[in-house]
Amino acid sequence: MMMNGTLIAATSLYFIQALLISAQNFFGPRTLLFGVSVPATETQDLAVRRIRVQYIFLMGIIVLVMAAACFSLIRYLGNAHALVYFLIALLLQFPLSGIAIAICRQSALRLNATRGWQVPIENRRSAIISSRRFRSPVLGLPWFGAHLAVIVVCVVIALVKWNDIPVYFAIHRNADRMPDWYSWYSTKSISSVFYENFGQLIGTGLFMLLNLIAARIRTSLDPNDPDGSLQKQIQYKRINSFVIWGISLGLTVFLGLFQAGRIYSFKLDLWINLTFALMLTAYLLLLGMLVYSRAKGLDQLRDFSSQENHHWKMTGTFYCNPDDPAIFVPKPYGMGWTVNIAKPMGRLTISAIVGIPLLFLVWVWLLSK
Amino acid sequence: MFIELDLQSETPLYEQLINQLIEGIASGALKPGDPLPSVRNLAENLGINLHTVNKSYTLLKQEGFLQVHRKKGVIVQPDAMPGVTAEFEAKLFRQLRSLAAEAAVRGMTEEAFVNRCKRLYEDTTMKRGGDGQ
Repeated sequence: MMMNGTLIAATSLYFIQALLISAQNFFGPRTLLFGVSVPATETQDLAVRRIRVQYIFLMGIIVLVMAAACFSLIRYLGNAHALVYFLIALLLQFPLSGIAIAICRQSALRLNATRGWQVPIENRRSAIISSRRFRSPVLGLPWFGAHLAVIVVCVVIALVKWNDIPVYFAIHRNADRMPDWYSWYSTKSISSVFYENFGQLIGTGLFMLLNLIAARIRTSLDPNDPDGSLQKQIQYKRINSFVIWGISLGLTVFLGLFQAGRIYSFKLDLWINLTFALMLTAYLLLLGMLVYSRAKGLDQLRDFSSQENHHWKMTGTFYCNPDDPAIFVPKPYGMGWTVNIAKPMGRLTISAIVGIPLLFLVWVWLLSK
Repeated sequence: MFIELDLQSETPLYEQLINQLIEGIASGALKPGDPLPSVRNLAENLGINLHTVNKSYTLLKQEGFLQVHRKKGVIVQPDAMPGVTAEFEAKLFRQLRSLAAEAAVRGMTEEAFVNRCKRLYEDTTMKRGGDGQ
């Protein structure tokens, strides 16, 4: 059985993540119901509200059933084995919430067909042409100097403490706390000692890329209030950028602490607690961003170029419009962006998102053979 | 400075863009040497085809209103703007002639027509030296 403290932390994290996923339903323009345009006068209609509640209800059932199944499986397991199931349950929340969204989108489309809503499409487009008054909406590259500083500190400490590092240690252990497929890396070497630093560098690079994408996302202005919507877009991008920066810095620090714990003496429980702390911080940061954006009305911004329903494929997950040069567009519900799969770069991005983790899994599988 | 395009207008999008950029230069909202968004950036923000923006920029560059700078990208002509060329005279004559004819047919007096032209010219150039908004 898991220790009480770990179980409480794991359960809290599980429900906070479920809350975060469910809260997205209430984020985004009120005139969009799971990507389906709703007339402004109908946003408080009983049927519309019922579909929003339907999502919460479905998510509630999914979360509770998974929690019950997980708990019955881990009851007699040790910490490490239990955490594997817990991790699976955490990851399953995402595809299962997708199923809940698909069901609710179908309900929204049916309601749209029944009511015959004819929401007028905005045929005007507005853009800022002079950027003299505005600085970049996202945090600049120097902000990621903090990440590099953490990496440098980790490397310097490892170099200074080189003689204190044991000659043999495991880079990775399985759930039984036994060194697993990395066992041949157990001898002290550059690659085994600085293993996490490479991870820190790759992670920082990926988050810098994400920050760059946030900067490049289309600035869709409301033709009726271009200046006001521009200010909101800038503010929204800045908050996103700050969250990206904060989470990536937390991850860099975490990997540094993990490295320190690993090369001197491996303490699994310390690592578990650190992981919980990191994930909890990230979730609270995201939840804070949702609440702040909602309070300031930043989530009510619409992307005018992608407003037509027929451009959205696979229950509104992907955008497909060959006439739109944008590669990344805001999702029609929840937070974040999706790609324009009509563009080669969009298809390449999707391939990379799906393919890189698959390649990684294949590589791990090959190593374990 | 903001530009606004109407997707339902009879005027082609590239022409709407050209007209608004020239108006921006005339009003002083766009000053000589000001950088303009890249073709891709502007097309993405407007949600229109890249070739449309590219056509507008190319035509304005050929006319001498814009310049492609090696480091800054597309900028408003930093040197002298194109003068009154024979081609422009012909275009002005052609467009004014048809408008003057229609104004006459519709019963507008010569004085009213001239006054409207004068006021439009003044309005367009009045903001020169402003802050660009």
